[in-house]
Amino acid sequence: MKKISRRDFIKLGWGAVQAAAASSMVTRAGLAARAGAASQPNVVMLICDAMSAKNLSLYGYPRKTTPNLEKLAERAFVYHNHYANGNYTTPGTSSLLTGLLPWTHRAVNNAATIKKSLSTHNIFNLLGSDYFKMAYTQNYWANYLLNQFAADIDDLLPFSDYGLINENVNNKFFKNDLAISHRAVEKMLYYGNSLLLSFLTDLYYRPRTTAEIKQEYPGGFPTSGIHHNVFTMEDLFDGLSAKILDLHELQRPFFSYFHIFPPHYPYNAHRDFYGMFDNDGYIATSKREHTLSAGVPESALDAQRNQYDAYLANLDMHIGLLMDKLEKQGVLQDTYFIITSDHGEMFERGTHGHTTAMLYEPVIKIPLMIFAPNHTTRQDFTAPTSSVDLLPTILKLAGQPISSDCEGNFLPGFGNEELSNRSVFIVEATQSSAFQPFTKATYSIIKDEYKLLYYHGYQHKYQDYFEFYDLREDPQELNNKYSQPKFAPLVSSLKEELLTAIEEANKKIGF
Amino acid sequence: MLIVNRFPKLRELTLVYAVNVVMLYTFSLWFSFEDMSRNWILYLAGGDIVGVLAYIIIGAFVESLLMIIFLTLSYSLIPPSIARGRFVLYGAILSFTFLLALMLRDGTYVGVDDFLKTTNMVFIFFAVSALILALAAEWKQPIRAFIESFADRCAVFLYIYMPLSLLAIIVVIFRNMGQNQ
Repeated sequence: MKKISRRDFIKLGWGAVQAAAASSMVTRAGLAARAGAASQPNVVMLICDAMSAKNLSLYGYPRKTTPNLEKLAERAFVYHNHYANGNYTTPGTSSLLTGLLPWTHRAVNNAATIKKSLSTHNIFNLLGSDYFKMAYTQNYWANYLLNQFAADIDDLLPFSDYGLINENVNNKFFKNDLAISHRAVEKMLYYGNSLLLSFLTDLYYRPRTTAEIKQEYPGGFPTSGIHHNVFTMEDLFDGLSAKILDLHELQRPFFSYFHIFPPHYPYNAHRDFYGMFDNDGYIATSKREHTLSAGVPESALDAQRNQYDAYLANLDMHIGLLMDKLEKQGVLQDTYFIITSDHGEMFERGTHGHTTAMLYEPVIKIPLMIFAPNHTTRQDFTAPTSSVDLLPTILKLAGQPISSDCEGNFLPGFGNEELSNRSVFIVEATQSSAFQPFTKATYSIIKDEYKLLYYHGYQHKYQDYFEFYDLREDPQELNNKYSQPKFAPLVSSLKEELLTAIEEANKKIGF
Repeated sequence: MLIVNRFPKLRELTLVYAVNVVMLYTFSLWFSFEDMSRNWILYLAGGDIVGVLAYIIIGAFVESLLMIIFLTLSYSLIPPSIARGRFVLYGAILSFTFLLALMLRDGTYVGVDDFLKTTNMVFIFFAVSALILALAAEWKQPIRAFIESFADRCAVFLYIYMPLSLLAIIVVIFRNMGQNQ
């Protein structure tokens, strides 16, 4: 049996105190909610795509990127070590919506959907019929997932809603085959697989974005991956607040999932924010280029980081305004409001973005803030948590039974003590078949402050390679301590846990 | 005179249509097979891949119809004294150069902000290359014969692509008959 050190004991004790305090607050919040119009609380999820916790001043980033979130945090549950279970939209969002890890839901490839036999294991279905369920995403790949769950969603908005050009061929003509038609129409109209139709689409859409509005966005309009889906932050957030206020008028509890594209690339901030960090003297920690990197020079990474941070600040302002509005309208009195992301973003080691084999902190560490009804104090949690924890937590808040297949735990503060020794798993397997054990993948296990990375199937030494980091002492992940004798027992235990989990997952692949 | 009477003969229409079909279908299927081998095959079931391909084939079918309708109407508006007997030649040249220009645009596409630049490029390339080919065909009989025989050979592909289109239509109708999948 593992001995408990003095440090562990203190941590456990502090965790228990925090958990007790938090659960009493949740109880009070829950009671307040029940005292309101609805017996079950409303839940709003705001997913800000590609929002890395590493770039938020909320979590200590030197640039003031999120002053509003910092202010809002004073009355929120704030999670400091929250992780996405995947490094880009498809696996990250799938885990968030299903409470399953990527090696279980198998949505690991670009634009994939989850394993068909698990398609009912989603938050919308599991919330039951008491709730009115609404979903909206600007992200095309997340839209594939929502389409897969369409039968369980009462109000699934087209991805182009709140955009400058609000049209969607797919939802109009192929309602009964959304998942597949969506994939084909996307390829034909937006990715140029159809020569003439993509050209005509451009001809139709392009002149409709006016020059006046463009002046507001010197770097170009915010778009959501698909270049026709152009929007302004103002329209987007006006749309969100109007929708939430409408939902709040319903005579039944609602669950709404808003997956917005900012701060995902392209980082086109409003002119008030554009270039705000360009010459502020901030110098990021220089990190050696990784063998598996895309080879982006440091100067280019710095330039992209500047733009990303400005876009974050722009987004932060709108979140602040949205929350103010909801507060004034009384929505937050009976609504849990969750702000998180599907994955992070990376500007280091020769790589920009998140489509990478490297699962370093910037690409997987994401924010998580939860506002509970009438909760007025800040509560911080440092235990590692991940996206799969949201589904069971929301089900618990909604008073619904928790599926035994869920691979997440209740979040600390919501019916669970702060377990620092819970394991968090992250998987990247874009280039592997979903139907078989992954042949090319990166896995990560995080436990307490330790992190083990396992590269499998890549070139050179990364055929089967491990890295180990002590995140508390080395948050920048500069020193791989895998071979240090001091950590050998810990490394061995993490390795065994990870490899056993992979082996178990491989036994359950069957589609 | 009725505009219908100015329409090209069925054989002429078929040959020009065939040029469009070959270029549009081949382009769409080429890139779809690329997507399939790189991505879809990793996670989509066979039936779903067939479904995606069916939509894409219908897309190509719609494109080919748009092209032939546009060319036919344009031909009908040109005085017969100039256009008579030249539908296959000019239809094939216009189709070939226009679609080639679109391919060029597709290959150099950067983003919506470069739309005007790429669109201008399409039209310049199209106008210049169509003019050069048309002049060359008028000037040298072998060039004209080559273009017309090219269209003639393209007609063979109609025997592949048209049944495929019919099949695709059936697949899409079938997929859209049930409830949301």
